Amino acid sequence: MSIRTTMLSGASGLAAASAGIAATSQNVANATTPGYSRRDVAQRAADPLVGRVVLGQGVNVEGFTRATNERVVEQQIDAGADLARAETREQSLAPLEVYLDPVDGTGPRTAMGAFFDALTASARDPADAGLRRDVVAQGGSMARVFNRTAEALSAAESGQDRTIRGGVDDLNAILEEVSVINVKIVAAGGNLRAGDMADRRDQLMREAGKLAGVELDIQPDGTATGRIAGHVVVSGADVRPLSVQADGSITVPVGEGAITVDDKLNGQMGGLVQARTATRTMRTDLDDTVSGLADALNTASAGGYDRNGVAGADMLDYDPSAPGATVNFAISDPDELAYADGALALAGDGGNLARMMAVENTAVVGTQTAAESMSALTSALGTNIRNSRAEAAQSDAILLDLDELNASLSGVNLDEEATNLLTYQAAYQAAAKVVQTADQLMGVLMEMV
Amino acid sequence: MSSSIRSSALLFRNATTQSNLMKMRNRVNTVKDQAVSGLKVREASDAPASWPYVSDLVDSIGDQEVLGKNAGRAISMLGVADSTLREASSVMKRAREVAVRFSTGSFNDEDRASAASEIDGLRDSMLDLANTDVGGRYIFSGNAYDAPAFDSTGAYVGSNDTPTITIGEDGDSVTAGFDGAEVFLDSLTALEDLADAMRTGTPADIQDQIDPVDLAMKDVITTRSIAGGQYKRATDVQTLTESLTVVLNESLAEEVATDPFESYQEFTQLTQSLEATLQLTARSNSMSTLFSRI
Repeated sequence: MSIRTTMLSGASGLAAASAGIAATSQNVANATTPGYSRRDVAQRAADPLVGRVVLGQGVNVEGFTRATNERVVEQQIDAGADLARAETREQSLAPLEVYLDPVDGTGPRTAMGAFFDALTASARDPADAGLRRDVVAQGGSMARVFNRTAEALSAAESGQDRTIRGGVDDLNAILEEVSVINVKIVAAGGNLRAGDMADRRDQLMREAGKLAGVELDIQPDGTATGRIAGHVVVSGADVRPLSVQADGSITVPVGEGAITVDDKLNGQMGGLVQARTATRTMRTDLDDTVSGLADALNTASAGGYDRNGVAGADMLDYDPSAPGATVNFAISDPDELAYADGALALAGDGGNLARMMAVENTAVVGTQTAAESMSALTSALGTNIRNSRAEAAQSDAILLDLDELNASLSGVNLDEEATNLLTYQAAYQAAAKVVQTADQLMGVLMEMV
Repeated sequence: MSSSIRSSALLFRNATTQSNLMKMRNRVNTVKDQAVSGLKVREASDAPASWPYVSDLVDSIGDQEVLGKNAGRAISMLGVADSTLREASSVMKRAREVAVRFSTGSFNDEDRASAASEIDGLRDSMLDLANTDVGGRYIFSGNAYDAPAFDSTGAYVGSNDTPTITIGEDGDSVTAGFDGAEVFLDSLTALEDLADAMRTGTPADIQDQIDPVDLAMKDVITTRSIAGGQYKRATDVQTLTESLTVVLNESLAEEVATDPFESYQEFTQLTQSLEATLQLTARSNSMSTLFSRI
């Protein structure tokens, strides 16, 4: 053991204590940074020299470690994706409820009810012009409520479509950034910067998870591999960007082709795809109800005669490509309502009016009446929204637990850092003392020369 | 959950507390909205399973209102029909009395002429009764009820059917008018024939007119009993719709309305919890004490 070795040991202690202070300062500075993982100094005693006396050569700082548990991060990403899916679906569907018969408002079912009530009131006196006018007014109002509801559903669907397209762009940008960081992590090795990159990568993967439910795998070299429905979308420096097709479906490139992953997405986009499917179904159901109701009423009308003895005209006309949005109450002159069964169109002849009234209780969509069909549609929407809320509450609770677990594993404890700071300070002072003592010994030796 | 509490963990604890705070605030707002609107169920998502039932209740309440009004209209038509037919039967009874009195032959020509004039008057009354209307709706014109049933000559110009009014959800209806020909034509003819017999016929001829008068009176009485039956059905339906409306409204209230007392109680509990949580949040914000001592 030479004085020089002692000095070098002391110097390595200085370096180790400095590294410790650097890690502590980084930890303290990032105590409130979301997604930050605590840094520790990885150090070990330097290899000993083998001589007459076996003794070490000080300390080696091997780098900085990141206090993290990748399994917890993966679980956080999953739970975040589940939460985002449920919340997005709920947020996307809930605004539609106001169009579908709130108890204190008007929707298709209440409008239909009011129309048939007006027809029933007309049965009091089929010749009564006031009652006939009310039927025309309620018919027009019913058609407008159908139009408004169909337009709201179409607008919601195109909004969902636009957001999905925007989400795919955002996701591709995130995947691109992950690939860049993958390269930097490999290049940075084990220094503080690699840890910062890994934190950033985890944050990005959380965002990608929240956006589309990307599954994360951390490779032994520290890079992240992301998958959607088992298909790799980012690996090392490679990115396979998602695309939105003309029909709105989302595809992932696989080999030379592409696979549709619509129903396999999680996160916000998964929620949007589910909401879009539900909205499309509602629009189709509304269209079926409108066309079924219109056809039944028109058939009934054709079987009778109006006040002038003219055969009944269509009550509701519509464009078959979009019945809900285009339906219109075609009769504007109350006398043209074909209530009479006979061509004489006697004042009290309500024979055909009874047929029109019977449409209310006739199956016009499969085995359902128009009112039952609308109730089923509204009830399905309500169930979907309620389930979304329940799923969101459950995922939120899971995510909060995971966040807390992650914080306890990776977070910064300021008391601990303060203690570390004192320890490293003392270590630095002690190491400096060793160097100073070695220096003095060296001085004594030099004076002897 | 955590064995060592790190400051980031503390931050997350705060995040948990904040999340709970937000949930409580949302619930407070929901309860407040429910108390103000009086509705705990406004949209399908508030109670998806019972939504079809709620919609049916709302529909049925509307239906009952209309059907009740329809029954009311039928009641007023049938009420007038009943009193008209009572009058008509009195007219025929009087005609029969006159016929019976003059069929014995102990009256002079002048008396018979005077009695014939009375029968003419009864016939005119009968025509007036046959042309009774309620607000322009002629009860005995069949479906052609927008015009009088008989013209001034006594010819029936109404239609040979009976108008009805729907009073039930299944299309059930009551008669709210009559074929005047069936009710009054025989009476008018019998009265005209009786008047002729009074003027020109023998007592035996007058005697022969008593049977037609009786038969015609039977038409009137039969129709009156039909009107009475229909009147009873319409009033039953009206009573039923009124009590059904009450029951349906109660059922709807059970499904959708808030209990003000429950709302107040929940509101009070929630605001107290909210305040307690806020205080807790404020206290848990202290981070490290050691740094201040270095």
